[in-house]
Amino acid sequence: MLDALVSWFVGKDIYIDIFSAVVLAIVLGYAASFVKLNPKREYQFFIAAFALLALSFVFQTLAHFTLYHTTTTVKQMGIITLTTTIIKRQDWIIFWSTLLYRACTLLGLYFLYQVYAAKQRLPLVLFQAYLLLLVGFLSQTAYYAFHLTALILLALVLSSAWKRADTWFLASVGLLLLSQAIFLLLIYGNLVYVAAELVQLLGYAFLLLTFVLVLRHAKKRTA
Amino acid sequence: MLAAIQRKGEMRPTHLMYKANLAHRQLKHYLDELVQKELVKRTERNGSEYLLITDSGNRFLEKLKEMRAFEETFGI
Repeated sequence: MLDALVSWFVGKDIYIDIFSAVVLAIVLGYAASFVKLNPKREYQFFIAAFALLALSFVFQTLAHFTLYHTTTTVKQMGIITLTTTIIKRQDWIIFWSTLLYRACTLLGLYFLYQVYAAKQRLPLVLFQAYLLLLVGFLSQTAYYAFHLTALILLALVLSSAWKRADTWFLASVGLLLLSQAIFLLLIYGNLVYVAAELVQLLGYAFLLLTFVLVLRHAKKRTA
Repeated sequence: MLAAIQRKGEMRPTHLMYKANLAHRQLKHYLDELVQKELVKRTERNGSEYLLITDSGNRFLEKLKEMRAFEETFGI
């Protein structure tokens, strides 16, 4: 039964990627509308973070789509020589979109942490960003390096925003952190991947809920 | 200042000065800026000056409310 669930899930993760990108883009658009009113540093980091995270899911969708499209083509063709050519041709798309997904995710999470962290000197921020890009590149051969770094960044965001942000937002970050912890266990089978993706979906659903609550609070409050 | 004018609908500058707890010079400075940005307009009735909030002013206050709710929720 679990194998059937895993088989059914193949290809569905694209919808989770699209949903995540849309939720992030909605929050990004809303935050961007306040920049004129309040050009403070925290807003700039928040917008950069959400833009990078939304972009990361665009790359992730492209990687998944290419991967599943390749698989489908292989099934339809059934000619070994031709199949190999197709996979080779699409390999670079998967490589680069996965690399950009990881780089954008790590930078996005780092910028989100900068929203809550104490102000740092620009050279240090740039150096840290460089190190994260390096992790993103190296994680092409060690996937857990990416998930572990994302987990650490999310833990930093959670601890820094703990007393400042709303419970729903903290729950959203907490679920994303949990999903990264589950992703670390990918070696134990495909079911782990399904579980991690579902927890991630829940995390972004909570982010959407947080956004809906912002709109409701705004209507209730007085200036 | 804008919120005070919005709550009252219209307001005399002297009343606003007390409400906003500002000196006359400060009030004039801020009020000129609000009028220049078309958030507040001055009208005259029975020889007295009144302040009214404009549509832009109302929209600005709405946006400000949204921004504050957003900042509180995300802890910015």
